[in-house]
Amino acid sequence: MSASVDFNTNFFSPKSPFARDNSRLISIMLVVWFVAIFGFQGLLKIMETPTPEPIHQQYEKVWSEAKNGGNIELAGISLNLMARYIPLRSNETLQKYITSALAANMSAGLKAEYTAAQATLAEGTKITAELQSKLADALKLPAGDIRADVISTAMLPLAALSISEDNITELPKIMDKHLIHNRSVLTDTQFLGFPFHYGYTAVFLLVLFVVICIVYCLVFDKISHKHGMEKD
Amino acid sequence: MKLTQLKTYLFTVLVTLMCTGTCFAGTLDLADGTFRPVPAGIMLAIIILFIAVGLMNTAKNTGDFYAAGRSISRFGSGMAIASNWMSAASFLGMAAIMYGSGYHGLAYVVGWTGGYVLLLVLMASQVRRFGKYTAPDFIGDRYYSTGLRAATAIIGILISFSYCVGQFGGIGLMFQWILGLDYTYSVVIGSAVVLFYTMISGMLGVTKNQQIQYVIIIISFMIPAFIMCFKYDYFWLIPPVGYGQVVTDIVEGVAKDTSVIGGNTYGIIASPEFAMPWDPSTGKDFFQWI
Repeated sequence: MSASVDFNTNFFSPKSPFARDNSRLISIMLVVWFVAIFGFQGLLKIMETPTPEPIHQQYEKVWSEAKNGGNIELAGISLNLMARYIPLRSNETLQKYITSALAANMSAGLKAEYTAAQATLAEGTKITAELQSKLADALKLPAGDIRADVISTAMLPLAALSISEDNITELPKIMDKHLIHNRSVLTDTQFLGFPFHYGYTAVFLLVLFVVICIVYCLVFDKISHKHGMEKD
Repeated sequence: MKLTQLKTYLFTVLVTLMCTGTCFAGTLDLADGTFRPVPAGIMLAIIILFIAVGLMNTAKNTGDFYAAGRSISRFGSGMAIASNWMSAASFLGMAAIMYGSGYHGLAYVVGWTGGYVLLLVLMASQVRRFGKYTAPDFIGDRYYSTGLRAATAIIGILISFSYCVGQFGGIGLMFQWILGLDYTYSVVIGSAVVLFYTMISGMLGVTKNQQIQYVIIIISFMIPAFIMCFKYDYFWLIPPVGYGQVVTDIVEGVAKDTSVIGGNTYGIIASPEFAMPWDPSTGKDFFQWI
């Protein structure tokens, strides 16, 4: 090892002018990187407020009288959740509230059709489009409502259908968990079609990373040239 | 001139095959047990291409192996680096985690890509100025320690295990779809194929092969994006911008009777949880994002 080559460098106390310039450049790049990522997420966290969806407010209005089932509005909200969240399609509490609303609003003939179709669901058969339409009408869903497509996943046997205390305790937790979201002006503003926070994280940050790399390389070349470093 | 013509010819054939292949992709049901000859043919052509590129760019020393004898342009180096980022885990895993976890999935995108900045700023340029190509070399020479060199190499291998789990999972899924076999056999066969062509071609020219991989992967990434944006009437010219409206439509919902694709109506139930930060319904929180 030649006497002029000293590998004992310290990033936090650079000795040579080149090391000082290099450390300064690295520090600036790291600060920009850190602020762009964590600064924005911190700002998002500070500014957010838990905001209920309109259907959560609907649920709160009807909950006191709908606790024991049979309520069409609550059934519609439960269907909305099942349509959006695949894991909830096997949730017994939601199924019970939907089935109880159906039971309270179906004619005797429709109940017989329902019972026959429900019995075959376990074998993997699907209900007919006609029956699905009748059940959607029973729940007063608008024509063409997407929620009608998941009615079959909510069908339980009508016999021995009862809302338990556990169901009454569980439903508010489900509603609060899935219908309240962290929103702020950063999430509600749009930029290039994106919700601003989403576009910032998914597009702007990635472009910024590329820019940081380019700037670092260009500035480092200048520093190397300034200090007479040989090009590699 | 002859090599340039050959490369142009190979590239044209490859792009044509890939575009044609998407027309014969058939069902996306992974478990339907059907052997798909067109995708299998495309895969075979790509593997042969990798091996051919490797044979045409035989590395004679360490400099050639890692830096292709300094003959790679900046753009070429960028292509090679990008091909590392774009992989089975990116194409399949990222899409899946963003579908399942919404905004939280972006933490992985930012972490992965932001990590490249840290790698460049904190390690890559320092290691190269030292005259070395890899971390074990650098550590070993910097501290005059064979033990440290070995430890660094072992740590690197252990880290690569976590990386490889995702990649081999993706390889297994791909081979399952192409060959119509059970997933376990697909992983074994796919892994054997990847190891074979990597050993043959990778050892002969890492950078050149990565450049070819980059071209193949970027086309594979962009074709579905263009097609889906066009089909669903979004801004298809620049899909990374066009999908912004998709996210907003998912958040705000789309009425079923106003949206028609191929004669069929579709709709989206308003699902703010997809895009809102650390949404409780995804089970993720701020700490996990950080």
